[in-house]
Amino acid sequence: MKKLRTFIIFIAVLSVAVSCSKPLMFKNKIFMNFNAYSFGRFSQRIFFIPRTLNDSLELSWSAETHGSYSNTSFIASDSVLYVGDLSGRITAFNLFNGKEIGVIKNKGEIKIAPVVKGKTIIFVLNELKEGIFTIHFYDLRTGKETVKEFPGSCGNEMLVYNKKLYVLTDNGVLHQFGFDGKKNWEVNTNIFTACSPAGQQNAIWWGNGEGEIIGVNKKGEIIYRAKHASGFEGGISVRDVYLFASTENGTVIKFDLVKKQIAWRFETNGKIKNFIVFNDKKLFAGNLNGTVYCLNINDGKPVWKTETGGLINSTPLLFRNLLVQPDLFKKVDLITVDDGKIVKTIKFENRVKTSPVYTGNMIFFGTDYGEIFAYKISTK
Amino acid sequence: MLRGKLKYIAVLLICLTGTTYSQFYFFGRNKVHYEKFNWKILKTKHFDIYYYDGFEEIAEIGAKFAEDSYDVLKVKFNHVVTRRIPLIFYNTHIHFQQTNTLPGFIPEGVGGFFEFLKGRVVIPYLGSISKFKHVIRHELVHVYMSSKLSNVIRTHRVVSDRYPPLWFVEGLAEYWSYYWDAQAEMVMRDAVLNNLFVPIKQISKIYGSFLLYKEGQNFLQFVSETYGEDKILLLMENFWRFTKFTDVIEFTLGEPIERIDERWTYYLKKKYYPLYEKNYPYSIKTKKLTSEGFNFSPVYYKKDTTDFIYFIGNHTGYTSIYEMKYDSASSEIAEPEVVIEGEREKVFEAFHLLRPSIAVSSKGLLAFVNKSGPSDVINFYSLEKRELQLTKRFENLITISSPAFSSDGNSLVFSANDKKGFTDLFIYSLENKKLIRLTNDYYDDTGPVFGKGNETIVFASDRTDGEFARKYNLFEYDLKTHQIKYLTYSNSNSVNPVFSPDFKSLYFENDFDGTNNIWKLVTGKNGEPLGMKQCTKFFTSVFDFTFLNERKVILSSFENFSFQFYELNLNDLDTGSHQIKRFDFTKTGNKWLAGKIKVNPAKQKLKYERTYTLDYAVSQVAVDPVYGSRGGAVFALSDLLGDDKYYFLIYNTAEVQSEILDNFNVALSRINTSSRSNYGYGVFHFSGRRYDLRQSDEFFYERVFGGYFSMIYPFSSFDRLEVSTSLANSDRDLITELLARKALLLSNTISFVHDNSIWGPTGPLDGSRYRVLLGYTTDIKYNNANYYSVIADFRQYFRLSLRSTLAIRAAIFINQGKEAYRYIAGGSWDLRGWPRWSLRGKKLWITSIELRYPLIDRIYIKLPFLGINFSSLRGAVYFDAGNAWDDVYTETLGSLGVGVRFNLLGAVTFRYDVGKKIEHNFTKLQPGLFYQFFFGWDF
Repeated sequence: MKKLRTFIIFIAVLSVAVSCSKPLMFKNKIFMNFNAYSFGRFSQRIFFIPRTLNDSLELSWSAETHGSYSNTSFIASDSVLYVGDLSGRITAFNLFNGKEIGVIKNKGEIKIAPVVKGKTIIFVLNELKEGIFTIHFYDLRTGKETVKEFPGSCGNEMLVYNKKLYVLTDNGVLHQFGFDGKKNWEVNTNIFTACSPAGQQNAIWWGNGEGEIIGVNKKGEIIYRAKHASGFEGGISVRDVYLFASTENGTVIKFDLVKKQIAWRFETNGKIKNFIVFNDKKLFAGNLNGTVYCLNINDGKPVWKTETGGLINSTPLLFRNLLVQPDLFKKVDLITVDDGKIVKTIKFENRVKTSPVYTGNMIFFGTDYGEIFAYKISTK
Repeated sequence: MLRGKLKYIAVLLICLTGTTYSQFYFFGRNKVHYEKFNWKILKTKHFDIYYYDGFEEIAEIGAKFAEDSYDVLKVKFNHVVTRRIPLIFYNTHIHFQQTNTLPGFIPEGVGGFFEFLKGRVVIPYLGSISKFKHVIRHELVHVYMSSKLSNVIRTHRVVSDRYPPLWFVEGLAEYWSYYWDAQAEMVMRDAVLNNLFVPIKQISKIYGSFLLYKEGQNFLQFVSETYGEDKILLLMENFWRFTKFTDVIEFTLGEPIERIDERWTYYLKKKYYPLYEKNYPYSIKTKKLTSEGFNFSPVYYKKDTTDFIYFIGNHTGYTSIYEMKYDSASSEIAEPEVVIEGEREKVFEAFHLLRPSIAVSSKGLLAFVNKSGPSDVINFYSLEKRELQLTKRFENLITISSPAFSSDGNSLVFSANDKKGFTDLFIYSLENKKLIRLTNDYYDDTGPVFGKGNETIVFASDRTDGEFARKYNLFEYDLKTHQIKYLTYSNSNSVNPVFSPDFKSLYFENDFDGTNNIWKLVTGKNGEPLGMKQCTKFFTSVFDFTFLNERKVILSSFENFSFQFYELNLNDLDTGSHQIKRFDFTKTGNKWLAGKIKVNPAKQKLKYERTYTLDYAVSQVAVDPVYGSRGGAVFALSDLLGDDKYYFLIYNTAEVQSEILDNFNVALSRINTSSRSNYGYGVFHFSGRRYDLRQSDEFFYERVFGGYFSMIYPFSSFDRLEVSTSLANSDRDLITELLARKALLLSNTISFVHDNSIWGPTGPLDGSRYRVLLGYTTDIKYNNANYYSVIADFRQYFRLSLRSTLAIRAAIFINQGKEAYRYIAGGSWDLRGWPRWSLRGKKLWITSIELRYPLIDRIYIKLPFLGINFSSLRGAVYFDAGNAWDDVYTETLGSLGVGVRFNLLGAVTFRYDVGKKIEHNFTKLQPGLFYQFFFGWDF
């Protein structure tokens, strides 16, 4: 009986020990990469991969996190995949085998992708039971962090532009930080904002809930503010001197930063919550109705449209030949860029939530209830 | 609902114990399954749609609505429901009330529900395609909201101990399923202009009322207009963040709840106060004729020189037909008298309070509709002879409404739903007893009346086509040519046409200015319709009206959250506008057709076959200082329609390891409620040490195993026969005396149960309940037990006023024979003042008289941080007498006193009694007082 008791206690202690995660710290890691990695890779939010994708994807590994995800994405840097989840945790995985490296635990929600620069990871936490959010500058080597607290919440993707970090809150306040955690300035536009900003022409650009396009320069001065729609959602992506954005009722617009006017509009008749993606000639927009539109980037004329039968909420990856489009209806469609045909559908057990990430010949998807799937791909 | 569930549990428990009777039985009305439906499944992209018999066409239309709604809601919620959604359609409300997907009774006002356990949506077709669409969308909003919130909670890994308040749940379902219609406008106008409006911070005050639904819908409309439509979705997406929903609102809208309430109140006052300029309340322009209950469908009849109004009302809680003397000169409110009392016996099982269902002929024949058995019937009652002359049930017609006599009294036109769900027009000839069908399509044809000379039928219908397609307009059916032509054509809803007594004018209700008011058809020289003119401008809606003479009408109208009758002189009104709303019939077009789902019949239209899924599983492990550790589990399985249920019980009471195998207690039962006769059967094995209060005072070890069969046959909603038989092998060892007893017990019982009572917050208020049981138990192998059982329990409730009653109970219980069980008494449930279950005997009699009356309707205690609301405190004055004995009667015991009862959330009643016991063979009162606190409904 005594042996049995000892055995039960041992099993209990072991199971608690196994279920506890290690804190995220790289005491001996040499950080090779000092670029800043954020959602959309560049300050222009570019989702185009100039390679041709073979449609035979092969599952390499899968892993789990504590909470699920919004329509954001994961960040890869220095062979590590950083995953923020809706239970307030950042989990780091080995990029190549999915082994969990460590976890930063907090109570709240991480709705947007972290920013990684060298040994610093920056993430925004919407706090549980409090009407506030906090910005964490976490030193991956020491585990120490600087935390800044602000009222409200933040669901707009952070932006790295001209070596500065920008955080745009849901209440329309734009904060500029250095990577050391020092806040430089803030500008309050006082309008609900659910549109992630982009950087171009030495300014930060976004649209707000009142349909205004706003530009703020590096000193924190509003250099442009004018109403062009009923309201903007999703995010701004930039090509040359043009902003691409979507309105709350699903209109895609191309905005000329030089002339400060709309170049063209196109109605998709469905709300768009993600970024517009494009290559040199074509632009792609998927909406909540599950329709993907391909437009001529110059004049906004439709090239094709495809009904996926699902709900598109996250930003796709665009290769030369294929659009990799996640769908909340538990699938990812591979759609040909030329004619919009769905050539392959990868099915999942849960809703596919995140925008896919491409790195090191792998694509990463996040599905509901905290599952990560890493697929090996071949490109040329 | 709870009582319905208890029905099954009680059946289970009665049978599992293997005894022939239980002292703690139940009454309750019956959910009668008059028909056995031939269920089929229609499989669409996201739904499994269950329908039966001839309902296929409307099911296909419903399937299209469901798929369309799915696409709309996935965008609104930014979410997809990934499981297949079961959608169960019933072709009428009468069939819907027979559903087994909910154990309880479904009131007439319930238009559908979403059941969380299996994620089922259950919807009746109410005769109108637009209402069907509304209910489908409404229930699917519930499905989506439930899935979305569950996903938000689960993905954020927060404790799932929260759910939004009812006002939000129902408000959202309405807001995202339907436009702001005349009914919603009527309720909010009434609330704001009559000071019934309650802001969000105090909204628990109107919990469960229809006003709560409409306030919820209005609040979300206000949020959308003031803060933005996206905030509504954000209220759900921020749901993980706070445990209190008001915190979620404050965070999402960025303002304190008091400020939001102030803004909302201002928004409403700004909208409704200007109505005072041109509109008016009923109190200003009419004379009020009734003050109690809800009153509908007034019809006027002059008998000799006396004027009478006949109507349907629910003054006593039962819905009945009333007669009220009408004296235009009197300023006093006349007292109505019951002509036909409904809901007490099978023939008048239920009246349809909210539907027009009464008419009177020039010959003094009153036609009224009520549910009786499987469908509605039309009764013809002579007002002169005061007797029922004919009851007519029509084959294939399930629900009937809007009867109206021809001017000669020989024919009756009405609207009815058939088994396909179609609402069409019918004429029944009282002369040749023939039924003629006038229309046969899925358009909703309602409120028919005969035109002048009985050559035409005027009716309201949503068959409107062209620019105003699907609006309800008035039409005229020519009985000679069978042609239908428009009488009105407007972008508003016209219903309930009524001719003036001289047939010169046609009046009707129309919601053009927001609520239903009376309008008049304007015709040209040749009688051709030109337009319509508004006659009344009440704030809130007119529901029914009838003419007393050329000038005066009686209205059934809504004001102060009540439906009362008002007398109105049409000549007294100046609507302030004599403008005619002209009809442009050139805008009419082709018939509108409802979209249907297209499926492959071979693969997507299938016969329903039962598949069982888990309803619940409960397990428990307990450690007891005396008995050691013990554990058990209960599982319940049922099919999707809830017709067939399996219950599995397993637990172990072993105190030492070596006893584990001997002390397994297992029971498996099946209960089938798919047809009129409900039956159950099962097997059981129980063993362990026990002490049974109903037997000797010793502990004993018993091992009993066997099987049972039980059947319930309802004669009507009120009466049923119950039979059961069980065979059980019982081996018993008396622990203290080392005696063993073996028996093979065969038990049979038969009971007749009656219940037509209606309930107040703490117990029955009116009607009667009784049970007579005969039972016989015998040991067919060893002859160690042999006894008979008789139970007769009678309870009658005499209504003294609307909310007070005198309740009387008389009951006798007898078990006579070898090893007969004892009955127990004492305590708050029967003989008050005496310790609970202190009286035991093989024979027991009890009588009680209790006066029940309202004490306090509501106490609201406002504390600095929160408020506590207590409602429905009821008082009682009682007298009890009785005793239990074995062979020789000892003495009569009793008690008298007063008590307070308090119902908590409709689930449990707490009781506190103070009184004196009557002792010494009913000769002496106890010196002090007894105080007794317990829970349970009044008898």
